Amino acid sequence: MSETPQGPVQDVFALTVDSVDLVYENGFRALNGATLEVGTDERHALLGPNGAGKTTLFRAICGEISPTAGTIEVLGKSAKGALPAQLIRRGVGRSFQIGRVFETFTVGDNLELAHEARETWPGCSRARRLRPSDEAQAAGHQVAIDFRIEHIYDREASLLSHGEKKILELAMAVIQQPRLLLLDEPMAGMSREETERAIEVLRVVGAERAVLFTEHNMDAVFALADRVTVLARGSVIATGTPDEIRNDPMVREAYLGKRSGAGDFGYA
Amino acid sequence: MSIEKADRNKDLVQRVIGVAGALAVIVLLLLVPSFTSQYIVFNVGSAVCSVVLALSFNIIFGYGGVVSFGHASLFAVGGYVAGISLNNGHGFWFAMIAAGIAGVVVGAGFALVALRASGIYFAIITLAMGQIVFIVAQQWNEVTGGISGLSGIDVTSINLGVTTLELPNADAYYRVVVVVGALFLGAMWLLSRTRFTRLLRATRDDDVRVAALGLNVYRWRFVAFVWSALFAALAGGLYAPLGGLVYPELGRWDASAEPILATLLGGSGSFWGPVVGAVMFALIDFFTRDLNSLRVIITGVILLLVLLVAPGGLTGLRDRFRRSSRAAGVPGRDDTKTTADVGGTDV
Repeated sequence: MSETPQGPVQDVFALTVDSVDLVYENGFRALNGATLEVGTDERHALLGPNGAGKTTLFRAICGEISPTAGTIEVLGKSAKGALPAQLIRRGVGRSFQIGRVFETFTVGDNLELAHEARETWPGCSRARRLRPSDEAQAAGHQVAIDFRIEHIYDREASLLSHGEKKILELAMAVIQQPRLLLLDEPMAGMSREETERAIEVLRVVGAERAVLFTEHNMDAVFALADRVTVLARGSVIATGTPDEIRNDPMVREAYLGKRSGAGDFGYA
Repeated sequence: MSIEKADRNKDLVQRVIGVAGALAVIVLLLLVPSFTSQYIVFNVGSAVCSVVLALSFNIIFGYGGVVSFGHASLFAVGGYVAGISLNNGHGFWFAMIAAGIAGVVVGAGFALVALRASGIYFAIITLAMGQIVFIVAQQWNEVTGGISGLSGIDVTSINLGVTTLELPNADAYYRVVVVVGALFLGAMWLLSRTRFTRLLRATRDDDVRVAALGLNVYRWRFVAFVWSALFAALAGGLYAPLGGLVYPELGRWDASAEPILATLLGGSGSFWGPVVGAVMFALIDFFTRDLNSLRVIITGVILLLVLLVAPGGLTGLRDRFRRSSRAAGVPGRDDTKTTADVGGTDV
């Protein structure tokens, strides 16, 4: 499980987004000179009100849509022209806003599938294997224990709660040993208890890799993030440590509007 | 640990029962000629070929989640290539290998073109390509025999290396169909147990999600289509000497409906679904043979009933029953259910 397809990490940044514009076909300018950098072992939160361009930026980083202008560099190489699956194979892990798992498979199968998908990547020694792999089974059990979902290992994924699906999805990303983890609202729809568990897990998971995440739950953001970038109307209006962001007057105005109290970002 | 051991024992028992059951069916099928007429023997033989065809179709449809409307044309390609080989004096193995290679080549061509599209467009392209095969078979008189087809296809002996198996009559070749068909079925069963198939089934569930795991979905579907084409062509090659005749309609679009309907009837979710469906289909076909156009209506009504009552097909019905009886024994899942708001996803 320790082999990384691309060898050791040399860059300082796992992700650089440089002056990225993105104009949709209908003329809507979703991103306007967006710039941010995520260090190789940094947990970076991306904040912004609805419609600020967070999801658009995520999709651009993942190769689902290409920027109108500007450059995105993922794990030391340009993301230009790369297909989503190719970026994943480069070392990106991602989760979707809605916990997107394989519904007709069990939790364990989902984890094993993620591992087995990785085994098919070029350069992996197990690429030509025919039988479902024992390594995948072992890795699946281990990750299930780490993520505290071993009690539902044999449950069909369609029966999971929303929060469980999101935890499972996160586990599926982590089992692939990504060097850059992109999480779109990892705690959305989770119960308080699940959120606490997710924060704990993300703290461990994020210690050894770069993480960029969007999140509306401010407790989670301040508990996890090393740095925070705030997006408003497609542009970055501030980047800094959580404390700096909390006290930034511009952020308060753009993001919090008039109903701000210290530390309360008014998540509805 | 003891639970695991018990599970393994149960698996072993199930496997032994499965193998014994399969062997019993094969023996029974081998005995068919001794107590029925040649007409029935031919029908059972073609049912075996239909089972292999339906199973091959299920690789791309049931596991891959992609509907091909031109599958019978691959069966026809195999039939023609085997027929031409045999009529030119080549042996049984040569004919089968040639049929398989032709299936792979034509199937790869189909996949290259059709997989550029998805959903209904994919289906229509495969339909069109199947019709091209049909028209070629119909028009290319010198090679395919044109409208009247290719007749006199016969296998009189099979070289088994150490000895030669003489096939004095049609019953003898029927037995070859049973044994070789069972081998194909076994090969597809093994294929269904591979990591390849498991990942393929995941692409059926959610192809975007599989791509987000770094899997090359296009390559996966392509390979699945080629496997599927290989076994469809082998089924056709096996079929050709059974009646001694191949004709263009074997590959026409309405023939392509048969594996689709058989798979839907039996259930696409499991390996045995298409087998059950193809057998059912053959039975309906046989018992309505004297009813002329009424048979189409009867077939339609039965299909409609099955799909309304059991959308997952006949094997789906069994799985549903099993699941509900298992769920009854398991405590409710309310303990793990979150009461939190599960909406609130903005895009």
